[in-house]
Amino acid sequence: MKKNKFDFSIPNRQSYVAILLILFKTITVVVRQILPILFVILIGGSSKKGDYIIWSVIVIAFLSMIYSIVNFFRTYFFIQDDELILHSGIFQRKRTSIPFSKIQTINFEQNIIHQLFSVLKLKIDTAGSDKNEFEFHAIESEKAHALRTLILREKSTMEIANQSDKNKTITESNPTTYKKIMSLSLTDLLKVGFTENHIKSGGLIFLFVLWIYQNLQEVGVDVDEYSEQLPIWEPGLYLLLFLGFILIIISIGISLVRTVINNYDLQFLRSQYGFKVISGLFTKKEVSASDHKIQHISWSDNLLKRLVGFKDLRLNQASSAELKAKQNINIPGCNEAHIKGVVATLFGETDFSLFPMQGIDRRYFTRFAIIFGLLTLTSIILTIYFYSGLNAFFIFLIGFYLIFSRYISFKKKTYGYDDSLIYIKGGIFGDRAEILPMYKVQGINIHESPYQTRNQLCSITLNTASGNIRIPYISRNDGSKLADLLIYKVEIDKRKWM
Amino acid sequence: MNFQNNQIDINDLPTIEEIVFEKLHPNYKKISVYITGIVFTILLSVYFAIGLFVEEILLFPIVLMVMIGWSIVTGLSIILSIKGYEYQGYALREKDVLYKNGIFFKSTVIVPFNRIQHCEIEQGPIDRQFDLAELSLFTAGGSSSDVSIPGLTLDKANALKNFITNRTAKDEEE
Repeated sequence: MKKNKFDFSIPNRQSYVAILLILFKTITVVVRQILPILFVILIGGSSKKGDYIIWSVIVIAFLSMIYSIVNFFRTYFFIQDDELILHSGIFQRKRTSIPFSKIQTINFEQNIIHQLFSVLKLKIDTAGSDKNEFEFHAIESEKAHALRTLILREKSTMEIANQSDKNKTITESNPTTYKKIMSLSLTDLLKVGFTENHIKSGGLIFLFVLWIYQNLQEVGVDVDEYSEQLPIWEPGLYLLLFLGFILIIISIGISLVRTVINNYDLQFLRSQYGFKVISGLFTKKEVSASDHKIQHISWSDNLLKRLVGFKDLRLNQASSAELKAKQNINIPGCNEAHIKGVVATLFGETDFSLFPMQGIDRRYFTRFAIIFGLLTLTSIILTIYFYSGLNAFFIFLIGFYLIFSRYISFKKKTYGYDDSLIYIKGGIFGDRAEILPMYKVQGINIHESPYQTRNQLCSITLNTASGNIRIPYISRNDGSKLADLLIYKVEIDKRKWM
Repeated sequence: MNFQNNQIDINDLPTIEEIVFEKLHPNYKKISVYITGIVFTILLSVYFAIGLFVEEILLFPIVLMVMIGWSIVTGLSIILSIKGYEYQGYALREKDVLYKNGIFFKSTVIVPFNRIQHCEIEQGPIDRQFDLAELSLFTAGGSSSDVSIPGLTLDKANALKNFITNRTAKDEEE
């Protein structure tokens, strides 16, 4: 066995590659901070203030680099009595210990430098909302795998010892065999990229431009003055169309690049107790989720994705609030069969077409339409009076869009449940579906606005450890019936939910 | 083998519609009035403090308008906090706890005991004057399913906390 190769009972240091990584990190931080200033100097802005900032950035970065390197030599980890122990700190020595039972997941990450030297970044997530999260910048690949295997094995033996002996079979099987559920080929990857939500990428461009603008202003370039010096163009229709076209091209380009960087060589794997996703171009990321930690799952598509039959699958894990974003597993480019497989693995064979689906109350739409219709109408009248018809037309478009999308979302929103699962469908231009096992509910919130009270309606929010699920505008009778059933299901269920 | 799997009729389940909610301690009404009063007094003093530096806002017609506006808003808020008391209430069942509040926008939270992570009792300075306390119940479902029941006597809050902790522990044993 490999495990004898490494002795974790004596203090271990991280790989020396960590020093290289610290250097690399320092350089990137410096470059990122200085870049806009250099840009300014290049185009001939005032450089005095820029110089000052550059030097302070370099000094601070250098000091923090020294600190990190000294800290590296003072950091050790080892295993003692089913606990992972970490010693660190320069002036004030810190001793952190995590019992194996508290460890939730151990994830690996590899960027280009890691790959070159075959080391891994190791992240250990622990239960509870306290920020007790471990991160090792670089550990030799084999050592890291050995450490994970060791901890997970000890952990599962401990859990089995705690449970009754009915689950004894688990110990015999090897926990590290993986079965591939799906992987993204290069063509699939491009398809995923092309069908992303490009409006989001457009927003990113906007933020980027804003960022440059702000940085330029901070170092003392008057951007407005420059733009005033530009020749005054009549923004003709062709120019606008051209700019719009450019924006679309750039947006699609950014979506593509983002998809490739995040999802390159994506592999979605099934182990005995959970799922695992490996992906990434520069940084190879590995995220895993054990079955019992997954609280609810959802999948969605958009108009473009429907053309190629792709859906984004998301496995929502329970975790502390600070880590929420990192803990959810996103798998783009899944098809119907993959999702069916995942659902079957997690919840058993389920035929959702047999679920008695119910819509929500029509007043979800009509109430909104009346309020927003009146609002739009008043603003249109005011705009025509004070400004021009063209502005009013834009306001009409926005109002129409809001009301129209509310109508679609009303039409599409349905929910249904069987003995153990709740199934919620919705979406506006794409489709969206969520499945929540009833016993994972943490609490139920029933809201009533004054209007809903008058009309015997309510909205229900189901709180889970991985986020909230909302069912708006259902009759109060249906709502309390659903709440009664859910509470009952939670209270009789003795299964471990996290 | 002691396995049972009887069919459940949804209509036979205990329903939340019939629950009688228990009111908070009457002194809590006073506390909400005091807190509202204090908040608005602070707001007014901030206004006058700014007035020391920006004298324009203390000129005659403006100051009168601000005072009238302030009195109306403060009065309404105090009425609302008194009224709000009528709509606040909690209920304990064998296996869960419920809390409702809201005059216009009503909200009811239900949290099963076997999903409560931990409980806390808090007592602010004004609470202490009236010997009242607030019991907070935390779940893993994030802040929207955390329940805070204010306006309990300290004894009652402690009793509730013990009751709930016992229930939670019992669930874990089973």
